[in-house]
Amino acid sequence: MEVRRNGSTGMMDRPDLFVIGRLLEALAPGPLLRTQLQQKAGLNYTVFQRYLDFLTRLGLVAIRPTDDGRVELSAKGVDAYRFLSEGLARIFGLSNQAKVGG
Amino acid sequence: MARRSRRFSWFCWGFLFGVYGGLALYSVVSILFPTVTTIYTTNGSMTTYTSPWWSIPVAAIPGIVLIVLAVREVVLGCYEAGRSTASPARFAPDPEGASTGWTETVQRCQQRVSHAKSEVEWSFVPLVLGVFGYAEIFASLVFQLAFPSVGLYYIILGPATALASLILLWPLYRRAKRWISDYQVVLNQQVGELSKLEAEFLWRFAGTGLPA
Repeated sequence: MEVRRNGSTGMMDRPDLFVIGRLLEALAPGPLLRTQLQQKAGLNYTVFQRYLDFLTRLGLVAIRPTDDGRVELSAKGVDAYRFLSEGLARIFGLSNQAKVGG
Repeated sequence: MARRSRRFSWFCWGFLFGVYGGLALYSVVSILFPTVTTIYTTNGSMTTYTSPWWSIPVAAIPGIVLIVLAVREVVLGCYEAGRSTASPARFAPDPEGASTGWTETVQRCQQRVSHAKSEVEWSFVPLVLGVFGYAEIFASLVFQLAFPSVGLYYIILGPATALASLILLWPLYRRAKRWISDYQVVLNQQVGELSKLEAEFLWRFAGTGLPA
C-alpha cells in the first residue's frame, strides 16, 4: 500500500478507504488503546500513525487524554463509519453489518 | 459442506501433464514390455510386437484421476455459488468469513472475483490440450485395433479427431470467454464504484476531492 503525503499540509494524498474502514470498524464497539487499535487494524506503526493523524485531523476520531490516551470515534466518525459501511455493502451486494456501540 | 481447494486450474494443468505423462508411460511400457505374437503360416512366420493390455489403463489413470478432481472442483464450486455466475451474490462471503469484520469481508469478495477470473483464464489451455491429447490417444488405440495400416491414421483419423475435438471444445471456449468477460465487468464495476465512494468520502468528511 502506498501512502503519500502532501508536504505543505501533512495530509495523505490518497488514503486507502479500506484502511480507514478498518480503523473506524475497530473503534465502532468502543474506545481502544493505540496499540490495540493498531493490532486490530493490522497496520505497521508508521502507517498506523499517519492514518491516526489523518483521522484525528479530520475530526473522525478523538484521543481521550484522561483515559490512558484511548482513541474513540467522534460523532463525525460514527457518520463516516456508517457512510463507508453502507457504501461498501451496496457495492459488494452485502447486507449492512455495521454496528456502532460503546 | 465439502471443502475444496479453489484451484481448478491446478487440476487442469495436472490433467494435461497426466495425459501426456500417461502417453510417455505407454510408449515406455510398449518398448520395455512388448507383447510378442508369432503367427505361423505355410509360407513361414510373422512376429508382431504390441503393447500389453494393462498399459492402457496404467497410461490413462493419471489423466482420469486429475480430470475427475477438476470436475469435482467445478461441481462443488457451482454447488457453493448457487445458480448465478457473476453477480455480486456469487462472491458473497462464505460462512468461514462470517466472524471477520466487514472491511475484510468485502476485500475477500473482491479477491474472490479476481481469483475466479484467473482460474478460468489459466484452466482453459491445459483443459483443451489435455482433451485433445486424450482424443488422439483413444483414436489411435481404436485405429490400431481396427486397421493394421498406420499410414491411414496420420492421413485421416488423426486430423479428423483433432477437428472433432476442436469443434466439441468450441462451446466451452465461448463459455470461458463469456465468464472471463463477466468477471471483468464485475471487477470494473467494483473499481469504479469504489473510486466514486472514495471521492464522496473525502469530499464529505475531508472537504477535499481526489486527484484524478
